[in-house]
Amino acid sequence: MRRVLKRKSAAAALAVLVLVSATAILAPLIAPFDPLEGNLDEARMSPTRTHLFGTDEQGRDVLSRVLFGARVSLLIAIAATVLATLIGCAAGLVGGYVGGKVDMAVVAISDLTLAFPSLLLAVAITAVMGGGFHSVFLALALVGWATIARLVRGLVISLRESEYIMAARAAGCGHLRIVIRHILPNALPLIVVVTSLRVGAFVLGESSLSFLGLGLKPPAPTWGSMVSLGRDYLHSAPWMTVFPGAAIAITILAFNVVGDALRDEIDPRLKL
Amino acid sequence: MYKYILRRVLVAIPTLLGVTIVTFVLMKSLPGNPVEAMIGERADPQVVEEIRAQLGMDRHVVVQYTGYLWLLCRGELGRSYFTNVPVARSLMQKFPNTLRLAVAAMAVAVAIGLVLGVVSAVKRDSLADRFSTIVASLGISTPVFWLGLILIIVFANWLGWLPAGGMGDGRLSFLVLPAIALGTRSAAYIARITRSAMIEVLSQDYIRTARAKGLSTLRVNLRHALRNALIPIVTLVGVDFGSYLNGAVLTETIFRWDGIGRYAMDGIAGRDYPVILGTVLFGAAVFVVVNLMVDVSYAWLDPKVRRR
Repeated sequence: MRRVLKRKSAAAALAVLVLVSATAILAPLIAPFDPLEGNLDEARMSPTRTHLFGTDEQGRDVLSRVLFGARVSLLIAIAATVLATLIGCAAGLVGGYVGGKVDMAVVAISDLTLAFPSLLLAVAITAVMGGGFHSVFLALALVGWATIARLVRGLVISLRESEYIMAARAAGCGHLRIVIRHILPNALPLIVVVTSLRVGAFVLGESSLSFLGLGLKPPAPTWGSMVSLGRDYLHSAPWMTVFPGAAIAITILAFNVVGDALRDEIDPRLKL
Repeated sequence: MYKYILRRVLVAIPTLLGVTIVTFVLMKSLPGNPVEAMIGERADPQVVEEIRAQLGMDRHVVVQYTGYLWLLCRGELGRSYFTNVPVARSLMQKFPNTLRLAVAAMAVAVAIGLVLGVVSAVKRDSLADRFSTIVASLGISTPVFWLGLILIIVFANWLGWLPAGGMGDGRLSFLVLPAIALGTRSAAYIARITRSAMIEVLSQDYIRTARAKGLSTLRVNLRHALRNALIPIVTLVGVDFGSYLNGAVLTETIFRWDGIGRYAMDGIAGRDYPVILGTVLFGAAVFVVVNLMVDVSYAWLDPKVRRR
C-alpha cells in the first residue's frame, strides 16, 4: 500500500475516495439544507453563495442532494461488490480447486452470465424484482460475480499444482484446510485488485439503473436519478445535470485510479 | 480453418440455449400470470388458452420450456402490453437504426482510440503519453448518459452547431453527438490496449530488424508494430460492438434515437415485460453472434490460429 501511495495520482485518488466516503457518512451534518424539502419560489436557481450547486425544479438544494446521493451510490456499490466478491470467490475457489464436472459447471454458468450485455441483464433482473435498493444491489452482484469467478479460478488452478500445496496434501491436510489456510491467502492480492476495480463499475451500474428509474424511488436523492431529472431542464437549468454527473465521474475515476495502481503493484499481468 | 470455425459455432449453440433458459426463468419469475406477462392483459382469452396449451402450463417445467423454445424458433417473443405489436417485429424494425449508431460509434472509437494508443506507445513517458492516459482514464470513468447530456448542453444548446436529438431523416449531423457519446468509453479502452500491445510489440526483435533495414518510422509503427498488435484490439472492438446494446439503451434514450435501446427503455418505464425480456434475449443473441464473428476473425488475422 505504501508503494501504491508513492504514486501521486493514486494518492490523490485515495484522498478523493476518503473525501467522498466522509461526505456520505457526514451528509446529515454537513449538508446545508434538507435534501427532500424545497422552496418552489427558488426553483431552478443558478448557483449562488446560498445554493452553491443551484436548485432543482422543486427548489431543493442540489448540493445537499448530491451529498446525500453519495450515501446511496456508495452503499449500493459497496454492497454489490461485497456480494459479487463472495459469490465470485466461492465459485472460483471451488471450481478451480475441485476441477472436473464442478469446474465445468462454474465455467458454464459464468460464461452464460457473461454472454448477456451486463446492463440489459441488470435491468431485467431489477425490473422483475420490482426495483429499489435491494433489487439494484442484488442485480449488480448477480451480473458482476462472473468476472471475479473467472479470474480467481484461473489463479487457483495454477496455485493448486504448487509444491507447497502438494506438500500440504502429503502432510495429510484436508481439502478445506488447504483452501482456507494455503490457497485463499495467496489469492488474496488478486481478489483485492479485482474488487477495487469492480467498485467503480458498480458505481456506474447503480447510477445507470437509477438514471433508468429502477433505483430508489423519488424523492430519494440518487446521483443517477438526479441526472435523469435534469434532462428535462438541460437548457434552463444545466446545473441539475452537471453536478451530480460530475460526482459520479469523479468517484468512478478515483476508484479506477486506485484499482489500477494496486493492480500495477500486485499483478501487472491483469493490465488491460 | 473450417474446423476452427465449426468448433466456435458448436460452442455458441449451448450458450444461446443457456440464454433462452435464463430468459425463461426471468419470465417465470414475473409477478402475475406469465402468459399475460408474455402477450398482455388485454389479449383475447382464447389466445391466452391456446398459448397456455402450447406452453404446456399445466405440465412439467421442462415441457413448458420446450414449448417456450418452440415459440422462440417461430420468432414469437410476445406482444407489447401497450401497443399489442409483436416484440419481434418491433425489434426487426428498430435494429437497423441501432446498428447504424453502433457502426458510427465504433468508427469514432477506433479512429480516436488507435491514434491515442499509437501516439502513446511511440512517445512513451512523454507529455503526449500522459495526456493520452488522462484522456483515456476520463473516458472510461465518464458515464455515457452524463457525457451525452454534456455534449447536448455544449454543442446543441450553447454553440448550436449540432441537433440535440432525433434521427433527422437520416442526416449525418444527427448521428454525430450520439456516436461520440456511445463511442467514447470504447475509444478509451482501445487507446489503453493499443498502447499496451504496441509497447510489447515494439520491443520485439523483428521491429529492431525493420528499423535496421532502414524502413521509415511510420512504416515500422503501422505496417509491422500495429498490425501485430491487432488481436487484442480486435477482441475489444468485437466485444464492445456487441455490448453497445448497453450504452445504446442510455444513449438512444438521451438522443431520442429510435433504436432497440430506446424501445427497451420505453418497456422499462412502462414495466412492459415482453418488451424488456424480448430485448434482453435479442441483445444476448446478438452478443453471442458478434463474439463468434470476433473468434472467426482471429483465423484471418493470425495464421497460427488458421493452422490449428
